[in-house]
Amino acid sequence: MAVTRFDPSHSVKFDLGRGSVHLEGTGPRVLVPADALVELCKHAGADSLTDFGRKLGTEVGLRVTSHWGDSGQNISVEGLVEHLGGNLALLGLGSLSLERWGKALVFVVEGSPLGAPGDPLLAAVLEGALQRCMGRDGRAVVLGRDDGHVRFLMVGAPGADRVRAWMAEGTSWGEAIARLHEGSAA
Amino acid sequence: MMSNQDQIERLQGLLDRVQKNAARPRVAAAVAAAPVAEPAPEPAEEEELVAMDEAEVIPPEPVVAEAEVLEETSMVRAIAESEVSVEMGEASIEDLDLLEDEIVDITEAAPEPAGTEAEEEPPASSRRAIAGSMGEALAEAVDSVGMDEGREIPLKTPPPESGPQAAPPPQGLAAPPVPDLHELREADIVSGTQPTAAQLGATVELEPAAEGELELGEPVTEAPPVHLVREEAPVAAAAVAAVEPVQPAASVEPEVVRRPAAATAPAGAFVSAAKGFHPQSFLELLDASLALGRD
Repeated sequence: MAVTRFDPSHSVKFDLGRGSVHLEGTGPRVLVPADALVELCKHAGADSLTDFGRKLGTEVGLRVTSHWGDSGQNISVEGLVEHLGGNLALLGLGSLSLERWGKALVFVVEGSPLGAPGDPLLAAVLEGALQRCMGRDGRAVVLGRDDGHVRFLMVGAPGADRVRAWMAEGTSWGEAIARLHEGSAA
Repeated sequence: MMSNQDQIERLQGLLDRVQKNAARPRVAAAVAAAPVAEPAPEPAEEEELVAMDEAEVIPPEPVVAEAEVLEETSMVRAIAESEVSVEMGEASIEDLDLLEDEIVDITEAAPEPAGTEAEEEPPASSRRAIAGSMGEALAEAVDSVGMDEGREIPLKTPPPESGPQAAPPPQGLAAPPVPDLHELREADIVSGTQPTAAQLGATVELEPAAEGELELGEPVTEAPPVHLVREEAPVAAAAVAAVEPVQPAASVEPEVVRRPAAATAPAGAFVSAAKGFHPQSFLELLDASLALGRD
């Protein structure tokens, strides 16, 4: 299946007369400084942050689904990375890529302006987008960050709890992924 | 005392002997042998001899004897004076005769008498033969020059009085002459045997050669070229050695060392979930990943 390229042409409209910014297919947007958003997220609490992020992700998933139609269920790995990544880039949240470690799906976001404090917000965005376009409830567990790269492991709720527990014990994220595969194989 | 007749006979005999002695060429030899002494005038001697023959009463003057003695050495003269003085009284004429013999004997004492020379043959290497005349001397000189031209001068001078001798062959001056091979006949080269006197002029049947051929008889064109052998022989030998393997003996079997078979246990552990998982869509990968960690 051929991968259609993400086309951001005319996606954002600035109405300077009205003083509004419009994203194609959605309502008005507000351009805010990243540092102010990070400070807000720090004091919002985990549940409020998760709800705020999933709401952002649901809009992203809606835009992806609106482009593909009903065929979004058969989208390829490369196609999803292309369009999901494109919509995240329109929001200014960084560049998205995907790694597969066995059966584990790992999203990698590079160049997020929110930094490490904004990683929980990004995780909630990814969970909201996948729930909207794929209809699956999953968890995005932050594995680690290095050189501006942050990795998110997409697993179910039980697997997310185990990985967090292993990593809290000092287990590396690679070893945690291996253990997830050993448990599933048994 | 002697009679007058006896004295006359003796005087005549003496006169004959004196005349014989006078006929000898002894006067010139005596003069030449004593140039220092005063020469006595010969006419005086003859006069005295004549006087003796004529007047025997007159005692002989010692002058003659003295004159002759002066020609000899002092010892001879002393002996002569003593003899004369002693015997002058009785037989002065005999003494004079003896004196003549003595003089002759003393002056010719150096050369041996001719009779002794003829009897004893001198050795060939003692001395050269003396030429009898100038012509003979010139002829001998010419012969000696001719002999010297035909021979080489020896390295070492021969000992004196050795006479002409054959020169030894020169050593170290020149190599011996090499025979000209072109002039040699084939028979001379093959065998150095010479025909005997009985074989000369007769036909000799030669037996054919049993084996082999003479190298000189082989034609040059049939000889194999040397350069071809040098080009082909080493290369061909190396090629044959490289192509044909060495065949081992039947009783010898090669010893082969083989690597042992791999162990049945796996060399490493692999995650079974990772094997053969190739998701065809993103939803398949998402479902698999969400399933991780479920009991």
